[in-house]
Amino acid sequence: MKLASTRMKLWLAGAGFAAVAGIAPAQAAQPATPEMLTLTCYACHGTRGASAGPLQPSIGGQNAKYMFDTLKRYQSGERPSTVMGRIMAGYSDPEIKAIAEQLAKYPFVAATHQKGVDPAKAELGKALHDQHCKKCHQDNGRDFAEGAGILGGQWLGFLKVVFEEYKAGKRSMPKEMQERIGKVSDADCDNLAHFYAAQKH
Amino acid sequence: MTVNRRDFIRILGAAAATGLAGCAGAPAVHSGAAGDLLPQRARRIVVVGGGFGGTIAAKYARMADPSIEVVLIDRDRSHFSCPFSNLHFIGKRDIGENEFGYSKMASTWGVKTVFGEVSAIDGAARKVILDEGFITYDRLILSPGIDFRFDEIEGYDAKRTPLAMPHAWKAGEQTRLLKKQLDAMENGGTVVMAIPPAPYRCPPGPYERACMIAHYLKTQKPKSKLIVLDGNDQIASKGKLFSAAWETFYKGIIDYRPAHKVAKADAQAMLVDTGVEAIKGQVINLIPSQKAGLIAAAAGVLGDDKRWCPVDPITYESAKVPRIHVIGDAASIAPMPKSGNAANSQGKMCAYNVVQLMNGKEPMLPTMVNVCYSYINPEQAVTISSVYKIGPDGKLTDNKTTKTTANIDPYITKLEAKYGTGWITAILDEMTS
Ligand SMILES: Cc1cc2nc3c(=O)[nH]c(=O)nc-3n(C[C@H](O)[C@H](O)[C@H](O)COP(=O)(O)OP(=O)(O)OC[C@H]3O[C@@H](n4cnc5c(N)ncnc54)[C@H](O)[C@@H]3O)c2cc1C
Ligand code: HEC
Ligand code: HEC
Repeated sequence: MKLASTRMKLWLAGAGFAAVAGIAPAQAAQPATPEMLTLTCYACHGTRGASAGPLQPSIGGQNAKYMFDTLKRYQSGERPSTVMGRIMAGYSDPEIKAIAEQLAKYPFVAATHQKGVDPAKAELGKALHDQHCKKCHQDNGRDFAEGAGILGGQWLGFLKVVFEEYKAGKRSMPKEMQERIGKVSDADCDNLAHFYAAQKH
Repeated sequence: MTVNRRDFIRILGAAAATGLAGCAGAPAVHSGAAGDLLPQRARRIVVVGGGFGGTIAAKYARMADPSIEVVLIDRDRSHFSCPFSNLHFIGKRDIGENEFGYSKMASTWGVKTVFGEVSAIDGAARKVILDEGFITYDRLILSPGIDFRFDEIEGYDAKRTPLAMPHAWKAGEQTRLLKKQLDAMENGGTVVMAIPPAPYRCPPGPYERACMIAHYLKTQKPKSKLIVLDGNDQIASKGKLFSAAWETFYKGIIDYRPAHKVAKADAQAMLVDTGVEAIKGQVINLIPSQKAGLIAAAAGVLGDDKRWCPVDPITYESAKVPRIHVIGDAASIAPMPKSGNAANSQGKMCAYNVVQLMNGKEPMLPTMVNVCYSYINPEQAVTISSVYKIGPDGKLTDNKTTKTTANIDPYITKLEAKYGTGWITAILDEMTS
């Protein structure tokens, strides 16, 4: 077996491991490509980030900066999570950046075939969206303007959890959004979730 | 770019399926020849085992390099997922929902599927041997899961004992049988569950099952009890969480006895014996000690322990036989546990690096994630999670990322239970689409 390549040592240092002089890895290896780094995510978020639902969000085709910021917020605990915070503890900043950029290259696959979306609720949600939210969540939430992620076509189960977190004050949000959400009742948040889930791309 | 590549793979897959019409899924067509079942025209990876590791390795090898042919072999035309099979005992998820087949492996990814028992592997000649003949490979990925060490329990008959005392540690008929026995038991009957010493597949699995059986008894047979005989000195995984759950939900129902290894079984008398005392049960869920799937021994890839397969942590190549890679439960790759999520991560990393090696390139440093969900009642679940990488010493490490759900607080455990249903949907979808 060959000795570790310099590249590997550099990578190890970059990944937050203290490079220990004199100890050679079992086999020469090169850093993983961004594509390879994203593969573990797919067990929960679907191949290339197109989730099979009904809970785990689709993460392919999101804006790379939003994705990086989100993953860093999970890592620091600023954004609440069940497992994402713990998972992100295993990744370095350069890796998170590579993952975010790679996922942004894949298409966002809207959950058009999902069950349980109520057209009547979606209709009520549309009026609320137009009134309060469209400034930042443009194109019915299908666009990622203003540093937000894509909401249109996301899985209903996930959107409901996110709204519960916002309403319970468990997750921070931009000040203006906070004011808007404050004006919307729990039932109306549910209508908004149905509205975004109903969007086709 | 992405779309083009995907379309390309689809077309290739379609072509491969046509070209193989006579043999995909039916090696018997070639029987009689007892020779080469699939004469090799291109570079080829053979994958043995269409479970959590094998399906993923096959699919991702095709994704990494569609010019390499991939043949996936399983003895069965469908597989029952063990993950989430414990929910069958409380009627929350029928075991039928855990069954999946392999049709899209061929149509979407151009993986050639062959169904038959692999009886031997000739590592020198690079041949996989089935009843009807052989299949050659350039590299072989083995993901055969586990088999049992029946001989560790005196009086255990490999055929008859599991019918009387189901292990339900390979899902499907065994899961159904154990559920039927629970349903048939009178209110007041005793259930005994015996856990083998680690390492076995799914460290938290037996304790999740204890929760499910206890919940069933609590709601359906309140006069009944569950005696848990654990071959380990303490709860082998998520100990604090399971203890808290048993204290909170199943007090007086679960009688937990650590360091109680079953040494003897009498299926006729429905007795299990720890060497200290013999315990009778109306229903006995006897989970025997485990080892790598039998084919690992035939392939010569077992380690000195004669149980598991030592591998290189970067490429999963066997330390014993070159060009054979072992992933999933069969591999000995501490500190990773034997879980479906671990097998999934390993399948991907192994596939990408096998492709690297076949293309004459250096392998890449792998990252693996494991997240294991365990239900403590129908609405609440807890998880354990880790991220694994190669450490500076070249060995696999979790780099202290292993953490569990903090406690059994209802808000977070209910959310975990919701996302748990998302996890099983996602991981099964990934293996079949
Ligand atoms: C009750 C229970 C609950 C569990 N819960 C979870 C969970 O919640 N999360 C989790 O991550 N893991 C869980 N697991 C663990 C998980 O089931 C295993 O770790 C996982 O299945 C391992 O994957 P594998 O590819 O190694 O083997 P398997 O998935 O068992 O696949 C092996 C395949 O190989 C085939 N095969 C074997 N030998 C041959 C041969 N000679 N010829 C042809 N085909 C062959 C078999 O037919 C089978 O299809 C659980 C396990 C149990 C028992
Ligand atoms: C074991 C399953 C699992 C794995 C593996 C996993 N995730 Fe997640 N992901 C979740 C869950 C569950 C959530 C919801 C937050 C939570 O409770 O943790 C989530 C949420 C997210 C979100 C938020 C999406 C949004 O629009 O708000 C992003 C982004 C994300 N994950 C990215 C990733 C990336 C990148 C990886 C791989 C490095 C990954 N996840 C691996 C389960 C997983
Ligand atoms: C001032 C601009 C702004 C307004 C107005 C606004 N939002 Fe947001 N929204 C954001 C930003 C920025 C984020 C990303 C914040 C983060 O990830 O922490 C976000 C995130 C979200 C998310 C979470 C997405 C995810 O994948 O996790 C939801 C849901 C959401 N907004 C809904 C709404 C609704 C409903 C309204 C109207 C009632 C609204 N927003 C109004 C800017 C805005």
